[in-house]
Amino acid sequence: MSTEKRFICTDTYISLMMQNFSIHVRDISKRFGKTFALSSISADFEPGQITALLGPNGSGKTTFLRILSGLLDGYTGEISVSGYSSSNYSSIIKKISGYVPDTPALYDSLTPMEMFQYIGSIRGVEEKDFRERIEKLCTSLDLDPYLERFTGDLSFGIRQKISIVSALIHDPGILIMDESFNGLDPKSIGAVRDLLVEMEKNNRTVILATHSLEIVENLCTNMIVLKEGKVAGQSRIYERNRNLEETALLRKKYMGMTTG
Amino acid sequence: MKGKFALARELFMEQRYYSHRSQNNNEGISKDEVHALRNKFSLSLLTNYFIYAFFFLMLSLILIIDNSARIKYEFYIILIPLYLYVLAFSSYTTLSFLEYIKNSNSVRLLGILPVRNQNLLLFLSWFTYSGSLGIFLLVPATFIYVSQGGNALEVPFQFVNAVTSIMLGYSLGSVISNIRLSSGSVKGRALRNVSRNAAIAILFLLFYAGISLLPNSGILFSNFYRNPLFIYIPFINFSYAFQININSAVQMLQIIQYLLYVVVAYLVLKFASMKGFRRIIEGSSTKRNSGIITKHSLDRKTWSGHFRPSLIKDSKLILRESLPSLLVFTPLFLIFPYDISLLSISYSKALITPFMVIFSATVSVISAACYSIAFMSVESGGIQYLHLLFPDQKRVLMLKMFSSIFIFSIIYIPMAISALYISGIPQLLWPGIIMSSVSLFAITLTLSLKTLLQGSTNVLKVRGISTFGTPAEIALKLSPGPTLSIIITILSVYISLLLSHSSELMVGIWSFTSFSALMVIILKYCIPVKNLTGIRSDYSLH
Repeated sequence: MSTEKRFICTDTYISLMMQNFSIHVRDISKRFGKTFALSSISADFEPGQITALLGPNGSGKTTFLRILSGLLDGYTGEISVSGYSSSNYSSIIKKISGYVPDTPALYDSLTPMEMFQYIGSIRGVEEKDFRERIEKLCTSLDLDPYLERFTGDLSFGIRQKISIVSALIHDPGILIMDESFNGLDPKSIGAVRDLLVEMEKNNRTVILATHSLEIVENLCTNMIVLKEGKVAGQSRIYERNRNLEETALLRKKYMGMTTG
Repeated sequence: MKGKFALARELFMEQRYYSHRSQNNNEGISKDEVHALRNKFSLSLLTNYFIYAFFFLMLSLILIIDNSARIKYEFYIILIPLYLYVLAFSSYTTLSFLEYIKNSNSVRLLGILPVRNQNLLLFLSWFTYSGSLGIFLLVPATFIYVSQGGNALEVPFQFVNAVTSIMLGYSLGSVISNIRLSSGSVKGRALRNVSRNAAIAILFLLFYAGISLLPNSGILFSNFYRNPLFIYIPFINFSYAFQININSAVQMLQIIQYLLYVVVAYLVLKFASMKGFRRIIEGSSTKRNSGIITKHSLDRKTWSGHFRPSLIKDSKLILRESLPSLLVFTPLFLIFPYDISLLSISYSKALITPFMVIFSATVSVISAACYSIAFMSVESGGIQYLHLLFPDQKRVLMLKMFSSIFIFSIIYIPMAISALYISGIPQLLWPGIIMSSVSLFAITLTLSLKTLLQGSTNVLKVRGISTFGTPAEIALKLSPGPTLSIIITILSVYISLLLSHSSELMVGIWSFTSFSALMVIILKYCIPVKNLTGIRSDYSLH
């Protein structure tokens, strides 16, 4: 695929020399009725980093990721992507990112291949690139036997994999994943990890929400901990694949941020 | 039993919740608000039931009063359309209910509860809140019959007969749902869906043609009944089964025979609902392929532009879903009865053009409302992609409108031409009438889709008419589009009648106003606004 990425902001072609994007979030708050789901969140997501979003259930991770992916609006604060500050942030982010929701949301009456074909066409993926990417992604995630079946007939784990491939078809500059390792078998977890490491090497920005500290320890470069809609702590992870002692320390650090 | 009724109610409450969720975000609502919502769902269940019951009661009374001269001798013939309606209504609502049960996984929750006869619990739930409405179609008509000298024993017998029809309707709906969910290849299942829909459409046309022509040939039909074969068909054998005279031993035998029908109907229901329930529990599967990516599976093209992939996706989704694929046939279901009535009654040539204009507008408006529901409800879980793939709602509206108009035109234009031909309208006016109808369809559709699209980022678990609420709620929600289209039509007819009585002028004014209104709607809702530099003013570099 060409190193020059063109993306359309509604009517305007903006030519960018690379596919590396950063997201800067300043004082984002979101309210549902009288309840604050997010309160003054600030964070930076840089290319070449895999940032983990951690926090107890109901801490606002999904809401935050839905705002980052452009699916949810009606928030206060500012988000900018690679220097482009925009009241229409969602139009830009939708073009350059891939989003994997917590529960796979698919077209039940289409086959995975038909879905990929539709998403690839709308994303403007060239035919040759489309074939190469589908072959690579489906082989690594063992999706091959399911390509010609209705997605509605497939198990949760397989649907999760389809959702991941759908988000990666267009080789996005930013990948946002919401607890996407849930329901995957160990081999597939390994395959997704390899894909994310490859994205990191290619200087892409990856943001993933997870409850698994093991994934954070072995995969992520940064972590942000949310608690009751606020940032409880942020930390850079300097060394991955730690030993047991260091893992215990990370666990202790997380518990310290989320309790008390 | 009380517990079973509570569970049966909960299944429908859950359906209301999913319809509500398809348009609203409930995150962060308080305990009081949850309580208020439950009350609202509960009230909406009752309101919906009473609205339908009232509508059916009126339909029953109107039909019987309209035929009061023949009531004494041809009561059962007059009732036939109502029986057919009960059967169709029961089958449709069953199909809709079972599809929702499958999509929402409600049955899995039921599965882990210690409840016996769970398949019949589904029937109980459906019967309580939906199926029992059929009784309001048949029993009131019987009261009128009795008041005009008919046998009073007809009332309990018609009641039982209504329940039997409802049971058979449920069985039919279960069988159709079972066929839809059965395993097989992707192409096989799509083909089965298309053939089943075609069969339903043909049956409808035959039923309608039969109903329309029967009242004029009642005696012929009575003779038709007396064919010995029809003794074994409960729905057609009314004249044998219900001519009650308890003094006659022969008639008593016929009552026993009728009760046998009830038992058979119950057994059919039990079998069909058990099969349907098992299919939902087990789920369906499509054939697995070898496990190696074949050249065939990779031999897929990506298409440039957004229109073609959207049209292909929408067409596939529509053809493969039961209820939406029936909704797209709305023009056929509306125009065919019109064609039949034009063939069987005499009408004024002078009034046919204004009537045709208003009729075409009505068909377009009703079809557009049905298409908007069908095209949105098929998105199911994938609705999130509509929001993720496109920068704004205007693009989504434009693409959905394109797909809908394409499919509508294929079904509508041949039907419209048949109606225009039968009406004897000059061919010169045909393009104007057809173009205006399509324009009004597009106006209503755009406004309706816009309403349904707003806030619909949640997974849609209910497909078909109930996706976005009860029929009354949907009618209220979608009212701006049809109102605008009907105002345009009535004003055009009124102005042209004021100016002259020329048909050409009427169609001309109607075409002009509807096309102009469509352009305004497209510019306002479907095309993003550019500034002079071609760069959106809201993008600025830091």
